[in-house]
Amino acid sequence: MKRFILEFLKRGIFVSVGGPIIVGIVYFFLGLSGEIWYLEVNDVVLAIISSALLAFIAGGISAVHTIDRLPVFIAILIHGVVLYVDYIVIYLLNGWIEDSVLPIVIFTAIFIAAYAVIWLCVFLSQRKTAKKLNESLEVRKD
Amino acid sequence: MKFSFVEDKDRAEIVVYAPSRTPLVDKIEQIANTKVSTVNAYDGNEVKIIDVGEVECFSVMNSRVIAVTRGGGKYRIKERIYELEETLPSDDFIKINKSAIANIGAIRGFSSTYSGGVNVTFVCGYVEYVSRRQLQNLKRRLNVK
Repeated sequence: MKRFILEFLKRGIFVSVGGPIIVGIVYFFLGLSGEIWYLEVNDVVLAIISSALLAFIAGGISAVHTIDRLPVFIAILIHGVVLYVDYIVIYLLNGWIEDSVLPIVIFTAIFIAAYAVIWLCVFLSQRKTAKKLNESLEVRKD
Repeated sequence: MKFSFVEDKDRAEIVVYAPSRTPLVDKIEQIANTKVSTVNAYDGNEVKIIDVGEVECFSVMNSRVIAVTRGGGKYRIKERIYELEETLPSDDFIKINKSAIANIGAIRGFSSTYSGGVNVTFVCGYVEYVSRRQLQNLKRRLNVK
């Protein structure tokens, strides 16, 4: 657990720098397109701090994949749930998605669909691995 | 030749200081590299000497190292997993997770799990998981790409 926490902090701190940079790039293009032409100081401060926090958690939770005991999909599931909560809370806090049912449902559906595809890929890949190992075992027995 | 013994509970190592490699040095090396063919297995107060070929899997259960034998019997072993890893014949045994070593010849088959893992089923029916790190070693060992 101590090792996981240290790995979480290390990865989180490293990635957290990227959050405000991405927000800066997004605002830059929104400004160019004319979508946004004015920002209040409080909005900018909130965006910088919250995006750093978002990136810290998103980067840190990838440490879950270093826990060897966890099967691949459980690690992916923990990663996915933490990312989902991280994104939805920060997006709503900044008003990056509308605080109403439909946008949240759409966001959630996209997230679940993406993870369903990942689960299917992992499952099929491990099934193929198990099949190959069994074939190799048969050859060894012969 | 001078001989000295240092008691160290964490390390079992033979270091030979000699002006050149002699038959005696070779003999000491041979003894140091000897792989075990039997293990002392404990069942309550009873001690049995079991051929390692009879063991399907060594696994840690409730903080104790247990040998699961071909008949499905479970015996306590005093050696630690890392000690067994060093002394068991490496052609026949492979580590499958940080607390289990499998007898390759006693594996009935592999199966994938819905959680994205791979399990090993032994001839006696005992099931153990393969960790992600050891899965790569296992694939290399069984020539699976």
